[in-house]
Amino acid sequence: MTGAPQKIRMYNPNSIMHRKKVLSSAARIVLVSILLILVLMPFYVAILYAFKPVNEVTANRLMFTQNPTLSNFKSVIFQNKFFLTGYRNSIINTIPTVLLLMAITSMSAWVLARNNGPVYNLLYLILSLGLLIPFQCFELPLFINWRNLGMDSTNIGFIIARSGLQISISLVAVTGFVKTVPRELEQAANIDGCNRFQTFWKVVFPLMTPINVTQLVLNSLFIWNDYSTSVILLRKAESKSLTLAQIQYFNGKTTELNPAFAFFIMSMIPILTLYLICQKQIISGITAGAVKG
Amino acid sequence: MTKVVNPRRPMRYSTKHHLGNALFLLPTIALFVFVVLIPFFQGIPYSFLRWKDLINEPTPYFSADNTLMEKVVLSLKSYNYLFTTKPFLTSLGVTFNFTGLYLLFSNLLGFSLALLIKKSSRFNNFSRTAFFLPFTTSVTAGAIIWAYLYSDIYGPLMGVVSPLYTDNTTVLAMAVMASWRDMGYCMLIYIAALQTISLDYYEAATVEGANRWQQFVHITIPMIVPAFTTNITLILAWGLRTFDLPMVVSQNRAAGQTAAFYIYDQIFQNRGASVGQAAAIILTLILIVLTQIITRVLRRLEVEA
Amino acid sequence: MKKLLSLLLTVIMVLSMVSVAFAEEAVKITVFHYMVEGQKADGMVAIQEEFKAKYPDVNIEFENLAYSQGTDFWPQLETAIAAGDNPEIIMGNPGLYSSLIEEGYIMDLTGNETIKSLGLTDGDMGDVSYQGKWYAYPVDFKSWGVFYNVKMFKELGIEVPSTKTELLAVCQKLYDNSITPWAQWYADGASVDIEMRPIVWTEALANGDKDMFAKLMSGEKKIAEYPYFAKGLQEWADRMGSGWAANNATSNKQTDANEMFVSGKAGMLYQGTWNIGSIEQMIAGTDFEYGFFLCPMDDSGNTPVLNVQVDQAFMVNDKADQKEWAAKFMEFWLTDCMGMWSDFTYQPCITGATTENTPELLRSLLAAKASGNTACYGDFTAPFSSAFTAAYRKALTAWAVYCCTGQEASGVNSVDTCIQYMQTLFDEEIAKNAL
Repeated sequence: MTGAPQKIRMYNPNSIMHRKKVLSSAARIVLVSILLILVLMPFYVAILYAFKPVNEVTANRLMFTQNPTLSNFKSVIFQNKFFLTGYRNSIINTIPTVLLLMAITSMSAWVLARNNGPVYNLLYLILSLGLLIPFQCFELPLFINWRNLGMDSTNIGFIIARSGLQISISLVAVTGFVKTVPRELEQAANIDGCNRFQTFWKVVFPLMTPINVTQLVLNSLFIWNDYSTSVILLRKAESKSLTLAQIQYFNGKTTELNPAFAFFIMSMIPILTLYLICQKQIISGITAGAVKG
Repeated sequence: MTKVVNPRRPMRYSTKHHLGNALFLLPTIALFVFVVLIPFFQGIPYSFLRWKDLINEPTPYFSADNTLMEKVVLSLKSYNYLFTTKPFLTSLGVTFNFTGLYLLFSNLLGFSLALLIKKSSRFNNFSRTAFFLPFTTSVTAGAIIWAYLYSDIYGPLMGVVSPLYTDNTTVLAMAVMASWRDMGYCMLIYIAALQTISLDYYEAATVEGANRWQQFVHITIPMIVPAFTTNITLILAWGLRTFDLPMVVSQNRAAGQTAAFYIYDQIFQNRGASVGQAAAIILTLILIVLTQIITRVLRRLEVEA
Repeated sequence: MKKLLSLLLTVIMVLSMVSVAFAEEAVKITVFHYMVEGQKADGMVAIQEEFKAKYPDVNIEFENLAYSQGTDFWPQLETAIAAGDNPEIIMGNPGLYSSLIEEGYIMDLTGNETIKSLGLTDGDMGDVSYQGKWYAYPVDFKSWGVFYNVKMFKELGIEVPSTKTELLAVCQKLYDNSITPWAQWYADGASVDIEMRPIVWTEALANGDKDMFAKLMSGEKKIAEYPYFAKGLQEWADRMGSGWAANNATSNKQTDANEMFVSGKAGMLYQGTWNIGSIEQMIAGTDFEYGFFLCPMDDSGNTPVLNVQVDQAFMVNDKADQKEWAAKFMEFWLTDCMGMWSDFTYQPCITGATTENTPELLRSLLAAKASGNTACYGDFTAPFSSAFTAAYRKALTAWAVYCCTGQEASGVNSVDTCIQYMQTLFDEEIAKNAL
């Protein structure tokens, strides 16, 4: 059955190999493109609804509207009084949290990666336990404590709580990364008379840039999109975050689907920008951080 | 004063060194204890008390004249309720099914995508960004868009009811939604792992006459077991704790309610704070045990590979 | 890098200062509510401005505490109050907030002169009472029935049905003309509930079972002991099933069904009157015309009984600083602003107030209520608590799924199994309450 191809291969192996390669890479591109369409479909729906006038009812819900409008975006910005507060709160909550996390996890990760011993191993184990304890298990006591301390519905309260909740996942990744960083430089710094603090900030911390950027982006993502912590801790109107302000549109009683999607698009912009800027760093951060962790 | 160290020999650290370490660890530990550990231990007694809602104060299930044994037994009332009625057990079933499918899909898709676009090229880099895009959305917003996709595209196309609202496919539909969001993350980890494999291995294998499939099985797979470990444990933990998805898509139906949702529902919506807290503790135990087992198994594979 | 740390600390300190609230004003009334419709928000603003014109020193702040579904107002409210918030006015029907009443948060309004002067019925006040005492100011009411596409009916020569047989014939006729008879929305708990009420409420009250919900919740009686539930399920099944349910019947929410109806994809919509405003908003500027009739449940040809349930109701917090002003504001709303509220929201007012702008549909609802041919939720001794409501709706949703798709959900495949499932869910709640 396969006489002919073998023959061809004998005569001109390079050409068939080449053709096979082109073919397989074309097939690959087609396949990936199909997957891309599937994966991006939800975004299309969001955009479609965001630009559709509220009262336009078309027979085919998936057709792009004939008269795109910005009125949904305007309505979100000017009529949803929680949008701007939510944006402000989300920014105020996210930036300090990710910076704080970067500072403390990189310090701890360095120590935990460089020291071996029962105490350090136990500490690492306990700190990574946060990955396993479901938030539901302590949301109630956390809420009660925060209330007693007057920290519920405040930015500072949210920042502290959210950093604490994020420590485990961040620490595991950063520690994994630090293990791949060679010790020689630190030892050289040590010999040069740097104390530990200087060694860390001047030598180690800059070497950790890839993982720190990765964590910066991922943590920003988690915190910007946080729902379960916000819904528990941010109770008062002035403290609402963007995710909470958005949920209002999905109340069973509203018909305001279009502004909801406009809201969705606008709330994605900062996080998307951050991701696009830091993309390259993320790959290299994940390479060492997650895989070797 | 500086100490000269021999880089070849492991150092014996001084007390001063350990104190320095403690300083570095202090902020992390303090924050973790304050936010996670203390509330965690505070929560345990709540499950042994009679407590309906947040406005009322918790009181013991037992009275002063009960014997010690009776007190112990009565304190377990919430736990007894959980195991003698159906809802919590059903929610656990939903959680396991969901997590299983979610693990499978997000890893399978993430891994396949990683294989397809592991090499750097313009198209591949663009695709990577696009596949990661869903991960940047909030679960709630993503879930709502998907609910529309199911009922407006998939439903009419297949001539069926939205799978999200058909009891025996609800979990599957939710797993697809969750995997859509998180497969990009898995993909990045797999790509990262694939890129660490030195090309020398493949060249050597080609020389020895191994075909593509053999190379895949004997080089690629073993080399990225650590990535599997990372992804599987992460998705496992996320899956078992899933709360936002059922919160958005299946409030009314037992078929989509996960254990984490059941807990929230009891504590914050249905006036069963004790019951909810007891369920939370059980879920935590399950999660820890399950993750430990799976991690052990995977680590062993890593060693063998 | 030390700089980074100190910068970080500075940022945190500045931010925590930013987050400190501004100084309090002289008189501030905070209203916690869960109304999400834009029209209601506009109505509230208008009433507030009216009040402010009269009493310039009083500021009223509305805070929306609903996050995802109406049902999570209670936990939001509960945690807000537990967190030390002390709103002056709390939206809600007192029967659902017994723990607030027992903890002394709700002002007893029994015998309030302003409410007395409104001429409300016992059924109206029953909805805002708890154990015989008045605890809230009722504002408007809701009911449910069939919205129909006027033009479509005309084109197909369909008359508004007055008996059950006629209604089923209408469904068949629409179906034969390749039009989905009903825009259904069984993904929302409210829809399945209102489909049952014309039978369950009306017949239970007619038979004097005023304590039905109380007895079901205490476990004293079983669901099977009240035949209304089985009958309600059967009647509803006749309407929704027979193969004409659309594919999306069980995945649609309120919004989807409204859109389906307004776009002419379905001839009828079984819907609550609280959607009139949304539908009006959707059809603004189009020539769509809709009508409304109460769903006939039998072949007697009698005018169907109107179900009445208080919709917006507001309790005054007895522990709040400005409770007198809060009561004054509510009384101002009830006496001077009812027509205005109705105009903004398309809600029928509990007092029957109208203006020259009141649409015909609202007038007919008010007339039906005034005729006394009503079955009021407030006539029951106690409403279902939110946990029982959730359990009840869960079972009904399973029934809707079975009827529309033929698929068994939670073992529900007949009226009997549905009632069994419902009883199981109730028993679980009863067991939990006994803990």
